[in-house]
Amino acid sequence: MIDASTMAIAQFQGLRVPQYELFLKERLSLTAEADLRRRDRHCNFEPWGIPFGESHLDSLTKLFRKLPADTQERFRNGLVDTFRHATQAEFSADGISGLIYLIGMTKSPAGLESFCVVLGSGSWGKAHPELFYDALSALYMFPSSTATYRGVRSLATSGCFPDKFVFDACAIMVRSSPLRWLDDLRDLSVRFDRLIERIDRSNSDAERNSLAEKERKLARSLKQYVPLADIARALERLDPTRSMEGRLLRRLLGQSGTLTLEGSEDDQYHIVDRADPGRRTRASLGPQVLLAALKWRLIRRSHPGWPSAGMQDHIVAAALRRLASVEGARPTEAPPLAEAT
Amino acid sequence: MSPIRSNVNTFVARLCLTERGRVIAVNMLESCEDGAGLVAAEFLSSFLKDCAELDDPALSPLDCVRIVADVAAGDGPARRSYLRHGRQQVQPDGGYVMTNVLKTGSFHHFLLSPDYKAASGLSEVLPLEPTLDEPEEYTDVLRSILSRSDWSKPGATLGRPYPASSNCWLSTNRFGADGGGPDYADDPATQARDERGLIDYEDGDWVLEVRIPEAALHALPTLEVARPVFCDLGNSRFRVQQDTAKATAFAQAGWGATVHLGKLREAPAADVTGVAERVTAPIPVHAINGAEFRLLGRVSTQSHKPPESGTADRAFHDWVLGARSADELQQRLLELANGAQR
Repeated sequence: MIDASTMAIAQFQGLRVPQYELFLKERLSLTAEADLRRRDRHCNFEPWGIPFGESHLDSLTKLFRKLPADTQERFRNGLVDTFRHATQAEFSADGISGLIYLIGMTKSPAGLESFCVVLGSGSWGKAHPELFYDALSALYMFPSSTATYRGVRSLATSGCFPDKFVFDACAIMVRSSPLRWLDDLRDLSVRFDRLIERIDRSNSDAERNSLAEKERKLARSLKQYVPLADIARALERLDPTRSMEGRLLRRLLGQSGTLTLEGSEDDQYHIVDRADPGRRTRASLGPQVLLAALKWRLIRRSHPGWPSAGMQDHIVAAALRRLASVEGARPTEAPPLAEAT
Repeated sequence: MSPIRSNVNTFVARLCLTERGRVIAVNMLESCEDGAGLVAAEFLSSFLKDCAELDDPALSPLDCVRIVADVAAGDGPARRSYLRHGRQQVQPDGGYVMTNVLKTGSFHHFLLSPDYKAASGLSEVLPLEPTLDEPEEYTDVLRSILSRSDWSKPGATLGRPYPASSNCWLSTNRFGADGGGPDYADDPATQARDERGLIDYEDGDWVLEVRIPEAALHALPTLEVARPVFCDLGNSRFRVQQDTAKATAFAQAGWGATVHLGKLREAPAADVTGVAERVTAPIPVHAINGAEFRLLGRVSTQSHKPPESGTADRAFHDWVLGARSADELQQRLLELANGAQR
């Protein structure tokens, strides 16, 4: 004999995508207090054999996990459709935040693209910037993949995306597609520059400290996810005259950085992992990086013979020529950073 | 027989048709029967009358469980909240610590302020859950958020975070560490789940613990504190009375006892008492002085072991019912409730 809870679940599994959308809309679009009072009990699936969760969102997550794979896919699509079709007349910001929570907890692939549509270029993002925070929190839940990368990138480059979240977006992009990190840094450079400029102007020590911490975290993400050889290769085309690239170079290779740059007797350079000096790879430095590294004293001598006689002049001269040829190049000086010497 | 009594009889009969309903019925009896003295028969009678008024023969017997929750939380016909009836005094401050746990996702959605998230300054983005390879990153971000004065959502509470009436469930270190049960070396999240009987915490859930100095509760003189009874929205592993030395000691001090899921997994017939527990009204987060949030980690095991036959819910039901038959249970409950109506 089939018990009632098994039958209830079986009926639920038979729903189609629009029905899942309706089911979720009924539970998450409520705004009046009287409705909210009943909401959690509308999400009590204990009679279906699912323990009553900590919240209505937790209960819905549990319900999702109880479903077989093909049903989960329809549930996910219904969820993302609810998010895409949500209007401000029907949903509160808290309801949208709940949908974002569920997209993160159910790792709904279609949700990745919807963040840009609903928040980045839709009315929700303009009216409720806190939803970008929720979206990034949800994006951290997705496995590293090209789809995740595309979702974050489209959100971070969308019109309504707040500059203040650019570091977090970039960190998820680095994790999802590590080999593109330098291109991503450049694609987001306008946001980085605006943010840094605003914080510089603010004269707030707290903001500057937060910025420094964000930079350190991004540098740690680079070290964690990007192969050392790729960081070494990027030094050939990295441009320290761009504000964020210069700052990141100092965070990576400065005194408290996670990597170090060694110059050897034969004027070769190696990137070395500070925590594991055996992990090292040869780096080819572009002239601007060399100049910046010399100026900021980022190069550690691995041998007293470095640099060889005449080598420094040669490098500096070459770097200066290159700098002079860059149209509109700014001075290599970045704002002073505490730990760079 | 009066129509009201007839309705109560029908509701109790329908409640006792399901396993979950019968567990609730046992908790009703154990809250009320001689010896416990937690709830008067009149209180139980009034509660059942409210349930009967919401009941409808067209509903499934499973809906009776939902009706019990609705009535308990004040959504019954009388709009009366039945929560925290086993009222207790907050004990003198002995320097002990009360604890509550919640999932990281709940912290994010219900406690973290939208104003903090939207503030113009640089805010730290907290993932819904930590990632396995970077739990320290989560802890760092959490610490940074908690160091701000504006992190908590206005009106946010510990306890089920709704406008609806609810409870905050607290444990204490007043009675020392729990003994027995599985070895939880380096697995505090699973230990917390099992000790507290949190059947809804599954393998893979990330858990935060909130530590509240007892003194902080003394600073909230109007906070209702109670030993949990049948109408406190306990989960499907909640039991009002346990016949063990430890549960008796807890009860003498005005505390309930959890059902330890780890012990229940290993030896369901033996002593499965977990830790002491009380319920309070939801506690406003901004009003708790000295509260500490810390990441316990990720729950690493299933809450129950699939039994050889039936379900884990049925195994618990069989243990709770003991030698009582469903008919006896129903009859005894009606005797108590109807006796109080005379």
